[in-house]
Amino acid sequence: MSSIKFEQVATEELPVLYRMAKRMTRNATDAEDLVGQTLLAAAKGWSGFDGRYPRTWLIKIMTNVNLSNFRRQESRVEETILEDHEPAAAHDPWIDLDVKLVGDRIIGELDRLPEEYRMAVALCDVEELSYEEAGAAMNVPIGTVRSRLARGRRMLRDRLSHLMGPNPI
Amino acid sequence: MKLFRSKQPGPPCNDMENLLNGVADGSVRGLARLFTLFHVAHCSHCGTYLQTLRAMVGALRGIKKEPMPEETLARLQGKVREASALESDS
Repeated sequence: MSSIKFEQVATEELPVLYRMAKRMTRNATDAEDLVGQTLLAAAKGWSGFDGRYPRTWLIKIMTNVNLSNFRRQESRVEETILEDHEPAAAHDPWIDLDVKLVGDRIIGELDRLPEEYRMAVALCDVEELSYEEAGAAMNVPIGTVRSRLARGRRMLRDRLSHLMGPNPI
Repeated sequence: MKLFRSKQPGPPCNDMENLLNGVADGSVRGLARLFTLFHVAHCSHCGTYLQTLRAMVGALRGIKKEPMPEETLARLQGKVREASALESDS
């Protein structure tokens, strides 16, 4: 990919990548690490990139990197599960402190959605990608994007119904 | 499918949910949009649903207006430069 510069594209897409990484990891530190890993993978693959839809291309790389991180963590958990029998905390009270404001509350509830719905809502509603672009970024067909988005919005709407107006359903 | 339902609060009509989602985010246009808006004008279930969907989509779109913390941006720009050097070497 010689006509456009990697550095320029990556710098322009940093805010989107960081927001998406936060949606994926739900943690600012992990999000920065994920962006860093994504940039390295993207730089390595830059020569093979056709130059179309760089945002979708970068998010797709991030999705794959996040998935492989998750698999690696999962295998580590499987390795240590026999040694560590401490039950995980069911609910983190600090999360509640972080959702005082409406904007924070929406982000908080969005981050609590199951991953496939969270990603569909984040890509289509927060980043305003088309269904086609979101499908390419998540490696799923448009019909799946549509159904995940509808389900994700329904779940989010139910959880936020008290914030959304005087007559919530 | 029944075109309209009684004006009681409740969930949207089953066959309307995808259309309502499309109208809320602007992906449904033309006749499908007109049909949906005509339905909404006569169905309080779907009207309320569309209203809350629009408010929610608007709020979600507002999330990206929040700027990234400057220190985070500086660190990530450093990572772009590192990755860029790697790309130039390869």
